[in-house]
Amino acid sequence: MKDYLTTVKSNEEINDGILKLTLESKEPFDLGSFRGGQFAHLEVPDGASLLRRPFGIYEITEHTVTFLIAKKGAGTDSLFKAKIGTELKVILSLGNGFKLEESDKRVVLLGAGMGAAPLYPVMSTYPNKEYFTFLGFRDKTKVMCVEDFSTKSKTVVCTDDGSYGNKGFPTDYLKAGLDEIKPDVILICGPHPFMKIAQRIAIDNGIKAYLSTEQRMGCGIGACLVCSCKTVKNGEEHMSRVCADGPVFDVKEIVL
Amino acid sequence: MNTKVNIAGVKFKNPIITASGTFGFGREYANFYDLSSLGGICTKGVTRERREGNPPPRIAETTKGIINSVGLQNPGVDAFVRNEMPFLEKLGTNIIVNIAGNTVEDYCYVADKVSETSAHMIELNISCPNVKAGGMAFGIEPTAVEAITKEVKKHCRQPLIVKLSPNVADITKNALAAQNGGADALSLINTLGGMAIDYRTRRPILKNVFGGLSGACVKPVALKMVYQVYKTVNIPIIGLGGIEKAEDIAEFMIAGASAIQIGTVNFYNPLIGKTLPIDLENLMKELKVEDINELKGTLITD
Ligand SMILES: Cc1cc2nc3c(=O)[nH]c(=O)nc-3n(C[C@H](O)[C@H](O)[C@H](O)COP(=O)(O)OP(=O)(O)OC[C@H]3O[C@@H](n4cnc5c(N)ncnc54)[C@H](O)[C@@H]3O)c2cc1C
Ligand SMILES: Cc1cc2nc3c(=O)[nH]c(=O)nc-3n(C[C@H](O)[C@H](O)[C@H](O)COP(=O)(O)O)c2cc1C
Ligand code: FES
Repeated sequence: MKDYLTTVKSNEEINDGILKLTLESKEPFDLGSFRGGQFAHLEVPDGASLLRRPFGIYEITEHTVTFLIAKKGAGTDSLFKAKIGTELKVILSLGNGFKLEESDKRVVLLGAGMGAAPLYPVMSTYPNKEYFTFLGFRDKTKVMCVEDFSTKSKTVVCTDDGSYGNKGFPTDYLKAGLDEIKPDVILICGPHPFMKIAQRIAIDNGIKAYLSTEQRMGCGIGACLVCSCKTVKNGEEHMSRVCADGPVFDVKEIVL
Repeated sequence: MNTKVNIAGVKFKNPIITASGTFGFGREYANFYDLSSLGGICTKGVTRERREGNPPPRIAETTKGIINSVGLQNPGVDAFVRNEMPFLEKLGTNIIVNIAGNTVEDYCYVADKVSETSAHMIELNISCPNVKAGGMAFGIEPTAVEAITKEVKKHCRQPLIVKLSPNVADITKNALAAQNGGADALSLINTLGGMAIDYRTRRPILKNVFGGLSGACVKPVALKMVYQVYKTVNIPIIGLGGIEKAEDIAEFMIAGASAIQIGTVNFYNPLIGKTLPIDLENLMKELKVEDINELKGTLITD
């Protein structure tokens, strides 16, 4: 992990309230240890806020890093308005990311909303797997990354109201497809209620699964303990740091 | 040029110390720079037993500040001494161990254990707003401050710093009480009580409802208290609260601080401990100050 000085290379609103932000760094990023599911801690322009903001890394090359960012509050709003060339410091790569074993051959990516973003780079980190993606969005205005996923995996897209793709929730389509896909592992990211359902499906079907969780952060690197979440190991409850011990946890170990 | 300072007989290469709870046990920031650039590191609060802290969310942001409700999450003093001290003592900087507890006996137990280590100083945290000790923290009533300082002091081989809470009627009374109890130095301020509300959901942002405010926004409060305490006691003061840059250090020292701590700033500027010592030397040049100690307590009020 390192603090890089970058400049805004492009920021394009790809969808209703969703920004694709690419930053460029003169100093090459350390890609050696990068793993899909890791995140970056990004400075916000114009001193709009004191703390940095955590975002999952969508794509990373030696000199560029790309995020998909939903507009939420003051911090993300100022990123939408950032001009090309704006200097922003960014710490990366943070957190553990998704870890796949040699034996994990058939991999399901299960994402909802912005949760699609950190799942995408997993396919670059582990290129020699068979991927099955299930993505859910509220409606057609929120649909994103479908082409990116489709080129690398069998992809099912659904919207809550059926305005794009299938109607309904990605968890339902996954459940219906489980017998056919027979996944070795399911990787999950999305809003809290969605992840609870996904966690249940994985545990009930005895399938190994990991999910990427969120928590408000301070330092982003493991020093301040503000980002703790409850985890269970060997029957004992512990607080774990989302930024350093996570953000990816085994579904059997995280208390949602 | 001299940046060395002396706190209760302990020499620091510069007056910059990282504040308790904002720097873990040094490991994370050691990935960013060589921590020997720092005057010292003050550890997260260590208690007798392992603690898990408060439920999340534990942080909210406000204008130029943050509110936290971490509580005293830490591995307990035995694990600290076994797993963290060996790493800390190799960093080439002074180590201050921040200690906390629920009872006087707990504090003394922790002080005994820390005394056996190579730590340079012990900082008594009687002001953490995020733990409840029988309903009342030890840091509120001056009589309680004096009593606990006196007891813990008996168990400290190293000089004892008492860290004062700003959430009290008159901080100079608590400062005097700590001095009377035998404190070798004081540090101030800990966080100010605060809360944050989400007006949409009408809920508090912190699960704990209340938390401690820190960061740039608290600096004027901290400066005032450092100045008031400086005029009241004759032991050295470590000033903190909202320090972000070399100019802030100069202001705290002019108000009466012998050294300072940096807390919240580490979160948004992970390299601050590397750049600040250099910035401070540059500022000294600009001010034509040969020895950093020349600044101490030089506020002109006429
Ligand atoms: C590991 C991780 C990866 C993430 N990846 C993405 C991503 O790829 N794309 C994306 O759009 N969003 C992502 N988020 C969520 C994103 O960090 C928040 O939406 C963002 O911080 C909101 O900032 P704001 O100033 O606009 O909102 P405000 O609500 O004004 O923020 C106030 C404070 O709360 C914090 N906060 C608010 N919501 C969240 C949240 N959900 N998680 C953590 N902190 C929060 C902010 O950082 C800030 O400190 C991720 C969060 C985490 C923890
Ligand atoms: C996340 C966090 C955790 C803290 N934990 C402790 C602690 O364990 N013990 C303590 O004495 N002070 C603790 N503090 C208080 C700081 O050491 C410091 O007094 C305060 O943050 C003011 O300084 P600052 O404005 O530079 O951050 C904590 C502060 C923060 C932000
Ligand atoms: S954000 Fe500081 S420990 Fe996770």
